[in-house]
Order: sequence, then structure tokens, then C-alpha cells
Amino acid sequence: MESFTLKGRGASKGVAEGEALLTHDAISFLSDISITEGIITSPQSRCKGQSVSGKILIFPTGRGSTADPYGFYMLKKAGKAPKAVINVDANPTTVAGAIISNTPMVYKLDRNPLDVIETGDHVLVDGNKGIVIITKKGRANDGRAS
Amino acid sequence: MKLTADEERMLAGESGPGVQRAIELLIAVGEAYEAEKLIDISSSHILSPEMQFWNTGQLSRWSRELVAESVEGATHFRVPVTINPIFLEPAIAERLGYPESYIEEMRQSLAFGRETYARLGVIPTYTCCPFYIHPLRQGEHSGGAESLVVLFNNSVLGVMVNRESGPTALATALTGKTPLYGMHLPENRYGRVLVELKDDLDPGAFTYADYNALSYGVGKMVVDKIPVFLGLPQNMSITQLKYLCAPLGVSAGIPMFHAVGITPEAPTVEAALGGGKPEMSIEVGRKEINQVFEELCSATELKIDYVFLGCPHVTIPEMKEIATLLQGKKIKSGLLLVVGITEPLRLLAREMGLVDIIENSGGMVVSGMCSAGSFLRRGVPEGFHVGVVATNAAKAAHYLKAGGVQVWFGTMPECINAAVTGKWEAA
Repeated sequence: MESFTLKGRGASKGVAEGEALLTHDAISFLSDISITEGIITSPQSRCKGQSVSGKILIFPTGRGSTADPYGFYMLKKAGKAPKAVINVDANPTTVAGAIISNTPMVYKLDRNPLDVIETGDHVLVDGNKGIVIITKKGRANDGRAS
Repeated sequence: MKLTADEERMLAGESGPGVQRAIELLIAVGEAYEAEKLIDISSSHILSPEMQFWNTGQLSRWSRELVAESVEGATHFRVPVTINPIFLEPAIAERLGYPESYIEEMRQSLAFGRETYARLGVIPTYTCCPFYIHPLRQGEHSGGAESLVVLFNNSVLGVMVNRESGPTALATALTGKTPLYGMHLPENRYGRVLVELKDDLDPGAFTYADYNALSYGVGKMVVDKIPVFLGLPQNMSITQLKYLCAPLGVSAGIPMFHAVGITPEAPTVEAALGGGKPEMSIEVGRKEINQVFEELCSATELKIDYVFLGCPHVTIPEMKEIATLLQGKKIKSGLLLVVGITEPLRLLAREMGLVDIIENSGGMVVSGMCSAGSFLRRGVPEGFHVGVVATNAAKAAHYLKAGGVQVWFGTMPECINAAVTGKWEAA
């Protein structure tokens, strides 16, 4: 049960945990994800076809514009939103989307999450404290971070 | 972030949960940009998800829920607030034969929005050109969204405003505040890329479509760096300037450009660059402009179904030009010609007899509707398609093409000619 903690800044409050889905592509919630299905649709994404629903979604930063936060909100309403979001740097449209969707979000962590988290790891995101607790996949005995 | 006593009260919920959520949102966005504080704004420009993006179905209902939550307990906007156009005018949906139940749903979503924002005291401009009605001065701090409004305010008027998102724009209207970052700080407003026009271009003879193409093409080249245009005519009209602004909003992510001799902060190229050196220089000639014309035309069929002028909304001089081109002519039967405008200008144009000329020829002058968004795939009912569109607006052409619509991009006379003959016959 190897777990470790990253410290950063909370952009949107709340606590959630689940399985990591990591992508190295910047994301627009309105144009890269089907907002009613929660599936990554962007043709250039290596995660095309994967579902963000119920995942801890980790990506470098947002690339959204004016209406992007609405896309995040629609995903949440459709029950297809990620449980939490971790970014390297926060784009304000992602911050706004996370807040109006009541989804925890942290960013500016003390280590690059893209280097130390892998898809499938168990991740707890605490948006109140701005911390992330990672349990590497295959090592957690009960699926919970400890 | 340091907050004033007034801001602390909003954060404590003393003005209700909507204002509380609004200021929380602005603080969080400000912190992402390391803003040290919020500042007072003198105005804002909002857009509405339930009127501009999702008029029907579940997405419209969710949009209305979001707006209702966002304004919960709020009694008024704290500054003068203008608003962007709606998605599609029900009268046009009727002309296109959309199902009655679909149109009824549109009407309900629009009625919800109109009532909600009216109660809060919105100036019901329903236009992407609020500067025709509520112009701002150099140095004013403003809030809001809509890339054209942001580009025009920063670049033509010298207003200080960021490219915000829909929800944060509403939050600025509810609080009268915005975080101090980006375009509100003079050091972030300097140009970084020089744009020179080659000798084979004569900007004095540019059509509106040429300005559109110049803007669209330069946006693709600069991506996120503020350009400095050299050699544009000092006497550029507001109509020409709005066409220089709008396409940059979709081909680039920038909030501002400098046009030397036109932008208030750019009397000279040195002032535009803030005394620094440009990161790069680009040259634009006839070849580059022609490439944009080709790129924006996605149509293969020459038969035209729909002609749209007024992205951004037309000015009175444009109304005159359109009426002159249409005088004594009839639009091809079955074809729709729509001129997009804001209501106060439509009233003036009617008084001038210009609306009658367009209507007598079979065209429609529609106020308060967004042409750029009207026929994206998400806004057309199952089983309907708009057909082949002609427009002189690069922004509209960009969105239509991206939405899989067949579009021809050309000059205003070419578009009017297409409306009369029903065929695209570009020179």
C-alpha cells in the first residue's frame, strides 16, 4: 500500500476519490468531450473513446472558451462528469466549470501530477485543503487510500 | 486574496446565495491567475446559456436550472449590463418549417431568460455590438464575455476587459467586480507580433470581406500573441473595425490587438510594443487573403438556400448599402435572406425606409439573433438541415463550416447577388 501526498492549491471545494484517468492533452469540456455521454471524442486525443465519467480526471490544463464551463455543468447534470479534476496549471474556464458543477479541483501541485500519477491509480482529491493522495495501482488492498 | 468590507459581506451571503456563489467564483478564478484583489467595474456584458446556446430539450432545462441557481436571491445587477443575442429567432424557425413543439420549447426558454435578466435590470440589447448602444471610454474596467465585445472594447475603445467565460461574466454583473489580472494590467496589453501588409494589398480599397479575411488569417498566425497591425487606414469606419475584430475571436484566443494610429494605446508602433521588441513579424499579402477565402468556403453545391449578413450585427451605413444593392430586386423564391441587427438600429433603419426596401425584396431584417450560432448542428431539429449558406462574415463561416454546414464566404455584393439569383457566382 504505497501512497503519497501532493500539495497544491484548491480551485473548487469538496472531497472525492476514485480511479485516475490521465491524459497529456489540454481539454475543452465542450469540444473534446461528448457532454451527454462523457466520452472523449477529440480525434487527436490518445484517450479517444474513453469515459471520464466517475474518474479522477488529470490533464495539463483547459483549452476552453466562453461557453466551456457550461459543458462541464452539462456533464455533471447528465451524471457523466469526472468525480474530480487535477490540473498542472488552471485555466479559468476549467475552474469556473468545476465550481458551478460542485466538482473538487486542485492544481499547482508540488510535483507534476502527469509524471507521478498513472491511469488506474487510486486518487483522493481534497479541494478544501488543496491536496491529492495517490495509491499506486495494484497495491491498494481495499481500494481506499490510507 | 485581499477583500474589501463590501466583498466580505457578499462572500458571507448577505446579498443572497447567488451573489455569494458569484463572488466565490470570481475569487477562485482570480487566484488561478494570482490576482491580488478584485476591482470595481463600470459595466459588464453577459450571455445566456438558455437563450444563446441551448433553446430546447434537456440541455435547455439544465441551462435554466443553472441560471436560476446563479441568480438566486439577487435583486439587481450592480453595474449597467448589456446582453448577447439569442440563438435563433422563432419567426425564422417557423419559416424553416421546424416542428411546432420545438418552436414552443424555444419560446419557453427565451421567455425564461428575458424575464430573469429583465428583473435584474439588464439593458436588453441582445447584440454582440453593445458598443453601438452603451459605449465605454478608454481606461474603464469592464467585465463580461463574447470575444467580439472584448476585442472591440480593448482594441478600438481602449476599455480594459478580459475574455471571461459565460458564468464569470454573469458573476461580474451580479457583484460589480472582476479579478485584477490580464487585460486590466497595462503591462499585459502590449503587442508582441508585428503584422505588415505587402505592397500587393491596398487596404483603402478593402471590402468588408477582405477585412474579415485579414483578421481570420492573422488570428491563425498569432494564436495567442497580441498582434500590431501596421499600415491600416487611419479613417477606418466602425463597420470596418468590427469586421477586423470579430474573426480574431474564433481563429485566435486573444483579447486584443493594436492597429497603429487607431487603437488609443497605439499612436506609434513603439507605444504598441511598450518599448519592447516584437517576438516575430509576419507579412500578409493577396495570396494569404485569398487562401482564407478558399479555406472558409466549405460548400460544393452552387445552389444557395440561405444568405446571412450581420455577423457582427450591421450598422446603419451597412443597412444603406444592403438596401441600395437590393433596391428594385426580388429575392429568389424559397430562399431566405436574413440581415442581423440590434433592435434600436432596426427602428432607425425602418424610419429611414431601409427595412421596407429589404422586406419588399423578400428579405428579413431580424433583431437580437446570433447568425454565427444559428445553424450549428446542435440547434437544428432532427431531420432538418439548413442547406447551403452564403455570408460575408468569417466568424459565421468558421462556425458553420465547423458544424458541417455547406457555406460560401464572399463579399456583400456577391451574397446579395446569390440571394437574387439563388446561385453562388463569385467573381
